Amino acid sequence: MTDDTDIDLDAIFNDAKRATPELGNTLMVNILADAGEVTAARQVPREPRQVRSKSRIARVLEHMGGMRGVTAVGFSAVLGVMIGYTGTDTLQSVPGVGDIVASISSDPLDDFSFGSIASFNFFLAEG
Amino acid sequence: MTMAFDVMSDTSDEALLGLYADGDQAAARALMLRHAPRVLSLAKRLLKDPAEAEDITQEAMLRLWKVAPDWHQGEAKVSTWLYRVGSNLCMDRLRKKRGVDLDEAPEPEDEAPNVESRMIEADRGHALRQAMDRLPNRQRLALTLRHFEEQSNPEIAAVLETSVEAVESLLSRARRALAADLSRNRSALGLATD
Repeated sequence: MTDDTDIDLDAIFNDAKRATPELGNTLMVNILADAGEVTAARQVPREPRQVRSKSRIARVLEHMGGMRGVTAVGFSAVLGVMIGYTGTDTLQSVPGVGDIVASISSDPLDDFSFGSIASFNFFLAEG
Repeated sequence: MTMAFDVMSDTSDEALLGLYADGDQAAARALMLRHAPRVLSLAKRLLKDPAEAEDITQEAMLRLWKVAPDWHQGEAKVSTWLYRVGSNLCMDRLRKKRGVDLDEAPEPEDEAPNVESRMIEADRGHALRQAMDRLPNRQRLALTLRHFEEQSNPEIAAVLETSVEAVESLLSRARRALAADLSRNRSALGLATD
């Protein structure tokens, strides 16, 4: 190829072409040392991923028996407030709870009075 | 697992990279012997400084070692990838060196044993090197890859990350500019002057 002139570039390039240079020992040693270092760096065990510590609330909840425990406590609290405000009568409308309340209400101890106990009367008289 | 080097002569570059990524240093040696001389050759031609060319070669190979575990099979040829990395490193150095007088740049090492034959070619080679130095870096790189590293146009396109058409155009412009430059220096080429 003459590229618009009578210069034969291909011939000039062929003349200038030389064999691929050989690697010097130092360069080879350096390249292989790099390869070894990269491998060694890759093989260093990674630090175990830090387990995220639980928040304080989570730890308290855990002590309370987890979500089930907390739900039970919450339910009890609501029930307690309900009883406080409305008395036990409303509880009888709660399925399952009503029977328990009814059985307590019909307990023979309801009729109990301390006056029927002789020792109690004696205690009141004598001090 | 470590394979003996002679067993690896038929092993593909991608397979060698995979072996190296698994810790096989013999695979690294095989890859180095296969590719580092070509990067060194390219860098020497572009930079004309053997020490710098060795730095570039070592750096390009280091990048290969680092990328080995993430190498995607079939995505790029290792040789093309290395030429690309080597070329980019050379271009960076050339950009930094711009402004340095070309005549101050050290001549490449003369490795030919036959001094007489080299003397005959010396003027021609010198004229060619000087003419190539006057080309834009990208044209010089394309010519070097084409004529000295014997890369095909598609391979050069992959190295330069451009289209084959763009490479053809680049080479054509480079050759025209080079021929025009050399024609002004016919005596050095051993041609009759007009």
